[in-house]
Amino acid sequence: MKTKKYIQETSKYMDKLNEENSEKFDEILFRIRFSKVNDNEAEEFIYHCLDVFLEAQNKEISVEEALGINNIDEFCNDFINETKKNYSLFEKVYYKLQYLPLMIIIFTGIWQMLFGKLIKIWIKDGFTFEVPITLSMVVNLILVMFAIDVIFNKMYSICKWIDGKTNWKSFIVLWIFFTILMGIFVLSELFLNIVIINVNYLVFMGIFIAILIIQHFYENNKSKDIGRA
Amino acid sequence: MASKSQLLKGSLEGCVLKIIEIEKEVYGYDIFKILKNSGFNNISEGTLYPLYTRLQKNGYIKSEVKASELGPSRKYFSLTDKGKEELESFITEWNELSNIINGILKRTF
Repeated sequence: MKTKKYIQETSKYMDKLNEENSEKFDEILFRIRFSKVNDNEAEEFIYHCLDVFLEAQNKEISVEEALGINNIDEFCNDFINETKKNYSLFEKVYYKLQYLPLMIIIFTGIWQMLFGKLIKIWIKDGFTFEVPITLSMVVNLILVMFAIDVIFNKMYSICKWIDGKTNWKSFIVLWIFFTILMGIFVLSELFLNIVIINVNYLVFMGIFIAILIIQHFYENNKSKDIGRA
Repeated sequence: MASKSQLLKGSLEGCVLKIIEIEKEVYGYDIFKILKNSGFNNISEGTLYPLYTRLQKNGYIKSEVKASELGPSRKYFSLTDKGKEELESFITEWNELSNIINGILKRTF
């Protein structure tokens, strides 16, 4: 089945869970969806877990007993770690950098070049698509990727931690995190505004949009391969 | 020293292939229940499901989605010819290994 179909089917049957099981299922859903495993494999597993949950509910046994686990976090870690063991080196690198082209388009393309550099160049030098790539842009992009990586990997722990803490404490920690990030952005803009290369904005965007399209087909083919085997 | 569960985990792939061979066509969760009842007490679905994916990717098993009374459709696994060969090879290797180990354990030196 395709990823979209798994998500639709999961949403369709989730309502059948009782309140207690629904909470436990939400934990699995949250943890697996934010893990860096292939979307299709993740959604298939979530869908399978839902079926096991429903069977447990039907037989009036606990989901822990049905799944053979003591705690849900450990269970999810088992799945994530075992799934990652199946990946080739290419797949490991791919899933680590999966969002890089999208981030480059969003942050370098729109945020930095279009709203920052490109319009300034148009005002100063006239209508052109030749724009400079600066060292600060590269540093800022690496920082954004790092922040996203931390948030994705630690999302589950962060939310669990925030749940158990008073709001003001979590607010302060998040505020410090984003202030440091913004501080580094500003510093890199001030001190690392060194031009590395001049590129044509349209060609630059075109390359990364092409990578995104290739990614889309790669993901689609991958889910078909697993289903067909 | 390796614990019992670690030893069992190492031979899990062969056991799963054997269960699928016996059952002809089997639902993933039923494999888990059979393993559990056979003594794989520390195994969870979180460990098993990626193993099914790996076996499928290697071409040892194939799957078919079928409707279920409870609601969500289920994926049933069956053995391929390549899987049968892999199982034969696992059994041979397992017998050789157990003979070696038994030989050493029974030896008085």
